[in-house]
Amino acid sequence: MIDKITAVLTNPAFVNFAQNTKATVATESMFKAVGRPAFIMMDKKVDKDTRRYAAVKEGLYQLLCLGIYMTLVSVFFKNAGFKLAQKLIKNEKALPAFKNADEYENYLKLARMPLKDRKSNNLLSKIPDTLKEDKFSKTTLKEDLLAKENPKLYEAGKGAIELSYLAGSVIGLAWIASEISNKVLHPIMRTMGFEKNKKGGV
Amino acid sequence: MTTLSKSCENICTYLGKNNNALYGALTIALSKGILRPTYTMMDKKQDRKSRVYTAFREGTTGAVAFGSYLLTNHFVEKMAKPICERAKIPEKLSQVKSTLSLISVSLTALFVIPMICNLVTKPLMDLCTRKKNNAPVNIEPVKPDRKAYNLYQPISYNNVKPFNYGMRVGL
Repeated sequence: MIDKITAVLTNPAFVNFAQNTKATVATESMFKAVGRPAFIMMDKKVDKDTRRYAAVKEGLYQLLCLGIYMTLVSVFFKNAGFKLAQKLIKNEKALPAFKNADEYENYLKLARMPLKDRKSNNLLSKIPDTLKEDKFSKTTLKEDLLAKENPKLYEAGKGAIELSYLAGSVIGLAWIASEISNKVLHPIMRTMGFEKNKKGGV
Repeated sequence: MTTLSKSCENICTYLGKNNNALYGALTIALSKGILRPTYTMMDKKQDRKSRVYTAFREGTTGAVAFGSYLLTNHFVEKMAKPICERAKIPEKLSQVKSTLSLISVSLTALFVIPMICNLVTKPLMDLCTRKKNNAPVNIEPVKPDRKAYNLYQPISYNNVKPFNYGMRVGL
């Protein structure tokens, strides 16, 4: 029994999926977009109109969150936050001049691998040959990856990305998604036939 | 500028070294739990009753999600190690943690959180809005009986007598 469970939990495809942030966020958002409105419609303690309003609002909000996360948070905020951190952190040894957040993440993935796995990895081609820690360094970052067992991780870069995700999630998911949801909810409800063309509420 | 640069470097390095996905999940749950009900109550196109229920539900969802993520994280930490030890795969601990985390968070988001919300939202809403609902409506303010309590009585000009009424000056 335990072998079957661990076989599922350590299945390479499942592990890759679970370790991919975008994939996990998409999965959770889809579950929320389906499950939560369904449960709201099952709450018979409130009248049908209230349930419909709450359910459509919840489903719409989760779909908006998914769209905003995939575009604004994981692309715009990540790169903008990383660039800002590079400008603010003057010490090149803390965060070298990576072109963007993706290039740094590729470097980080390689740096965390065992040395023998790095040499044959496809990500190695995405690291520039000339990129150095600072102008006084004798070796490039790529040479360090190929020679050192434990190359530097430059955690400030990882922290800058995490901070950007956090700020982006609060601004994008809690604020912007709520704002958009309020704007488009009623036209959508009217299109779905859940609301008559009435003017204003109480 | 040097201070700002140093502070930014320190914060980013700390977060990079001590990164825990739980911090993000908790911050998002908290901010959603506050901002979503606020925006719902600002939606004046919907009747107040629906808005109040939806806002309560969103707030409850944020609070329940906050607790659920803490529990889920604790559950994953507790379960992953024994599973790896029994299956004799200690080197795959991080993989088991990530898959177990995805399963538990998805199940929590799909079933546990909305189910708890179904159970507690309406009772909680009734409890918080009871005071307003129990307030009597359409009751006119009580007018005191001025004569009975010997209070000031406004002058009624119908009964005002002429100034020379009853005066017998000089006679």
